[in-house]
Amino acid sequence: MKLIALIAAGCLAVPFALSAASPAPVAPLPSLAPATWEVDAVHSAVVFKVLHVGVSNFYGRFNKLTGTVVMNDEKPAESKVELTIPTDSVDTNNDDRNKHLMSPDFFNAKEFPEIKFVSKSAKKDGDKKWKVDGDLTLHGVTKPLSVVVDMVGTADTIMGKRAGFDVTFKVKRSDFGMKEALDTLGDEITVMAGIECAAK
Amino acid sequence: MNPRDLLIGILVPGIVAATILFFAWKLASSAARRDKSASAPAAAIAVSLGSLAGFCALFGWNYRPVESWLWMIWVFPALALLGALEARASSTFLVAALLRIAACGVAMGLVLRKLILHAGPGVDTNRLALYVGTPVIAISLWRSVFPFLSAGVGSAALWMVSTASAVMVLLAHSMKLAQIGGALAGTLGALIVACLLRPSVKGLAGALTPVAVILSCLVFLSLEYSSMGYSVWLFALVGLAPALGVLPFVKKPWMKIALIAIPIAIAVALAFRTYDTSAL
Repeated sequence: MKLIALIAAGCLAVPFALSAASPAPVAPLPSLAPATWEVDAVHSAVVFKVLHVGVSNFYGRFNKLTGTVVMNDEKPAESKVELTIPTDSVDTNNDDRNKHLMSPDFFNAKEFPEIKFVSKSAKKDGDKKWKVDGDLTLHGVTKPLSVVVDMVGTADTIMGKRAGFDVTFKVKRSDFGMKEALDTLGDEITVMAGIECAAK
Repeated sequence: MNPRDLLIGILVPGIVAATILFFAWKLASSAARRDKSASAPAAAIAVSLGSLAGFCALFGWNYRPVESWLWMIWVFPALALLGALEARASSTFLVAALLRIAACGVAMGLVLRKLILHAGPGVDTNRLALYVGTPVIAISLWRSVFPFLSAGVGSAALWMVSTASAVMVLLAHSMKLAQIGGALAGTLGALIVACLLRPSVKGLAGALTPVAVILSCLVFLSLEYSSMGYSVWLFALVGLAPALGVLPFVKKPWMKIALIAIPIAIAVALAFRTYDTSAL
């Protein structure tokens, strides 16, 4: 009886041991072939920081992100990025503060429900960097914005073809008409986004 | 809000309102000075334009606003005109009523247009009825109550209602709308002084329409665009408080003011309970 149990346990354990020893291969894609990539919001994050009362950096996030990325290594000029963040997805880990940020004092989320970035041009700036110029629409105001996008990696994964990008940029909220509490909250906002996309 | 904004937001409208009231009285003919109801249009103009001065001092002059609350800049001069006409026509019920409805309709149409027209083609009639009906009802109620209050008690009651509303709008997560309420309270401070120097209940009545419409704009903007953690009925409690001043067994002015202050204080305290001050 003991021997049978031991053999059964061994039979069950072998497949697990084999899979742990040799994980499914993730084949990196040779290049970012022309393709439309859709933002995977579950594996993306948009975080911002702002100076609070001149003494510390305060961090918040937006919990939702949608968009498409068309990146073409061979013809960078044909690349395009469109990203949309619902304003009411702002999250600073405090319900009252979130509501204040969504009020007319700051984002006025009900009148301006989306923050949008639409690219106008893109060009490669090194092996894994892209310089993207476009328009940022925030609080009903559209201003040009240039960002440098770092391509973290691309691969053919168990979830399909995937590509990941990092981007960091700064904006002045007063340029977009958000001038409340400039004496306590900094004017310059640093936005950091880690975006994972799935091939459409 | 920094101390400078607080000072500008209250002093500027108060000074402008006081100046308008002073010159209105100075320029009035002797007959008009004897007729105390002649100052009613001046009260409407002083409150409206004083609030406009405070608004511009705080937020600048933007005559092509994009955001709903910024359309208040056009509400104030509209109220100065329509409020003054309504005060002059107060003896003619139908004309006064139509001007009152026009003032409410113009104000709400300017600041809440996006909500009235949002439901596809046509007009959201429920919202329109609520936005216009509420200040009309408030003005009608106040016009039936305030004649029974002395000028000093009435102006103090209006000031308390405005200040409490501004605090409650602040607790609804909107500093900007609260600052507009503070500017209104600043003009009413000037009105209190004017009523003490030259008591005139009829003169005070001219301020009722602009005050009711401005407060209604702030309340509905807070309700629709900010986030109220408390019931909107607390504003109704504040608005109805002046009615306590007509109770027959309360004779002395300070007792009337104290009685009016009780439900206002209760409403503000209840609104405060929902606010988390640690998140500033």
